[in-house]
Amino acid sequence: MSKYKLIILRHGEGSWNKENRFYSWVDQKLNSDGLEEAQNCGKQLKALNFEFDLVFTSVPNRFIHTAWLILEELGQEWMPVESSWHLNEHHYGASIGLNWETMALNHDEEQVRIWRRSYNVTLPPTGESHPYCHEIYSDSRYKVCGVTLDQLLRSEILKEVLERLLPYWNERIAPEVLKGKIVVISAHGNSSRALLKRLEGISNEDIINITLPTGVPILLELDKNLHALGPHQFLGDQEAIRVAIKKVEDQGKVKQVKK
Amino acid sequence: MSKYKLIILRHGEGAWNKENRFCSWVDQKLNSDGLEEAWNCGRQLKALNFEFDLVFTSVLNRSIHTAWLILKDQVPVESSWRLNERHYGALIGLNWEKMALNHGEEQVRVWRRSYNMTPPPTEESHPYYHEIYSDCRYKVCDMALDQLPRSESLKEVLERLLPYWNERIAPEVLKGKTVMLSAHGNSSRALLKHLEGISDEDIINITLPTGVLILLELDKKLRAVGPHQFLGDQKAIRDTIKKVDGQVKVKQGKK
Repeated sequence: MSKYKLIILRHGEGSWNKENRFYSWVDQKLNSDGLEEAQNCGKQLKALNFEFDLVFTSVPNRFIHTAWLILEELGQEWMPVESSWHLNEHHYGASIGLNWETMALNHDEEQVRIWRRSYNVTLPPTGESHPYCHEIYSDSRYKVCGVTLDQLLRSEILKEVLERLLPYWNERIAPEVLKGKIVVISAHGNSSRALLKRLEGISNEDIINITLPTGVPILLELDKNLHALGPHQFLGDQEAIRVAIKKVEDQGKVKQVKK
Repeated sequence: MSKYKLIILRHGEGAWNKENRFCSWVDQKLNSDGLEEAWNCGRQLKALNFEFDLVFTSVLNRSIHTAWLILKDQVPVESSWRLNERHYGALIGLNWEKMALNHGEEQVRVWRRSYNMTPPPTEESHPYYHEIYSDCRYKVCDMALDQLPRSESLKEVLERLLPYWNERIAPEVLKGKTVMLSAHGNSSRALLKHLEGISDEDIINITLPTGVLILLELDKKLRAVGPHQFLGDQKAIRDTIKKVDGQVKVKQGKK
């Protein structure tokens, strides 16, 4: 195994994952499945004898709870955990809270897939009248994040996720990896995809086909320039992982019986 | 209220608290009472509108779990061995009540509470030696493994805690940040002794109940402006203090 490695973890399920709604920056808790996924992830990492040095998370609580649950399974609650909005999920703007399936019925599945996965397609921003605008922007975590509230995002494309994530990767995370530390990033589907795109050199066209299941540790081995030595690897029961990937991919599909 | 304040919390009960055993650096989890104490603390803080900027804990999981249960999640948490409970050396794992039968209640009280008395050190043959010193948390701390304590007096607890207070915690308090220490009975007593100027003789009489928030208001030199205050139902707190004090008493039926 390479000297430089990174574990990325997409947080476990929250209730909105089950409801197929765009979560984004809304701060939902893990549901019971999500708690179990996180605990299983921890057990798996323990069985693989992984010992971490540092954990980075975004600021919504499902990412932090995922990290805590994993550390608890590993008996490493004392490990430093650093949280930053730079690792937050893709800001879905006006789509936050909407249901993918309903949108697929109205706009078709492929359009929803593009909105969810593409690199360059912009969604309309969150206006003040958006049902979740106040909940997000009045939270104290965004008063201490180093960016003024009015400058914080109201919508992003995946490209912009990478643009705001990269300075944090370069200044905080990469130096730790280069010291040979084993770092875990507890993040979300799109912020993780953005980072993998960068480290693995995935094209703008191919990124749309990359799916990350919840609660499955993703190992990326890197060279001394922090470029991926090979494709990311999912750790665990590969058949169960394939099923989990399909579940995420099917979330934007209209169920046949409703057509 | 003073501009500079500190909340200290002695973590909730673990299994060994109930069994009256010296837990010290053994990494016991909170029991169900301890979990509930932590949740109650969280509710109380919410009712008092306290919001923390920063939380410091020891590297022992009962102090970290207490913090996790209380916090709004995005508050940074920093853990250091320098906030660990007093290292009780060869006494680790022993039961206070049995020791009181063998050595007298007053002797046990002195061992537990005095300022200058260092118990015998943990040797390699101690049943918990390997469990403590082989743990990776002690391979990454700011002191070499062979230099970490094998036993401590309360004075020695303060000596290893103070650099951390001065370098990491005090600067944050001086910035006006609201800081919580989720710590242990003796590491908290050592810090209060320092900040309140409690004498070596008087510290033996200071009892800190589990799961009760302790507020200390400080001046601009970070000296206490008055005695520490327990937040919450004062009668319930007095009962809890009495319970902690009563842990070393030999039950009458056994004499």
